[in-house]
Amino acid sequence: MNQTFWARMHGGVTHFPIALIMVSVVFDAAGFWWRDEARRREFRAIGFYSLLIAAAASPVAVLSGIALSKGILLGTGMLALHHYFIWPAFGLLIGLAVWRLVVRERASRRAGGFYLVLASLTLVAMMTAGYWGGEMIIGK
Amino acid sequence: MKLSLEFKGVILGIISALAAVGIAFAAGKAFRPPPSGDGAGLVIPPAGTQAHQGYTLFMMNCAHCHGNDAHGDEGPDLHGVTKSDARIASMIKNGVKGEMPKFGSKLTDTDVQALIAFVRTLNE
Repeated sequence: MNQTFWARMHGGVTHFPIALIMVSVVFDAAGFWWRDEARRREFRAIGFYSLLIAAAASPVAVLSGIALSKGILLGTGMLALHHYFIWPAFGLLIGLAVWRLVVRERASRRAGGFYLVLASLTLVAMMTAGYWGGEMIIGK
Repeated sequence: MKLSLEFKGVILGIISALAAVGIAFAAGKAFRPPPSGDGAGLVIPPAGTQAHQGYTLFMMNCAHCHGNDAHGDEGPDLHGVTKSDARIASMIKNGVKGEMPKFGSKLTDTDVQALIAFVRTLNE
């Protein structure tokens, strides 16, 4: 498998975690602030499963990226900028998914709010990493 | 001492996050090709020169494909390039279809000239 294969694979699979964490944060935020309790539960369920699928897809995205960069874990220039954001985002995504799996619907409102802040940070880090990744592949 | 469910989740989450990043870093070693053995490092042009400016731009925009030592990685080795300045400038600005991105709107003409000056130092 050559670098072109890994470039296409990485470009394709990275969009699953990015899109799903975005969906997850939006619905979890709605599940945090919505007035109707029944609706809140539904929003949180969407947020939960989106997060789980994002976390499940992320190792494929990370491994294809590692293969694409031939094992370079930091690098220089735009590759380094991409990595400065993707490693924290990947760790946070996995950590948050495990936390949600353990806690499920039993989180206090305070913990839920703290979770939402961390999930938003994960989303920002992932989108920033995606921006620098795009800059590398596409140029301008 | 009884830990709350939320706190247990935090501990498990941190362990999982560290394990995931650790496994990814270990996988990085598996994907890393063996060193080529040529050992040729990059001679950094003196600070304040146009070539040094080009070196800085190279490390930021080009090194992830052409290698930190410009000996090539996914992109070709830039040592001993014999193309004209105009041809190199055109390749940087317009890219090479399917092989190299275009940097025409990201880099100014001055930047491109600095990059060319840096590439020329690789021939020395």
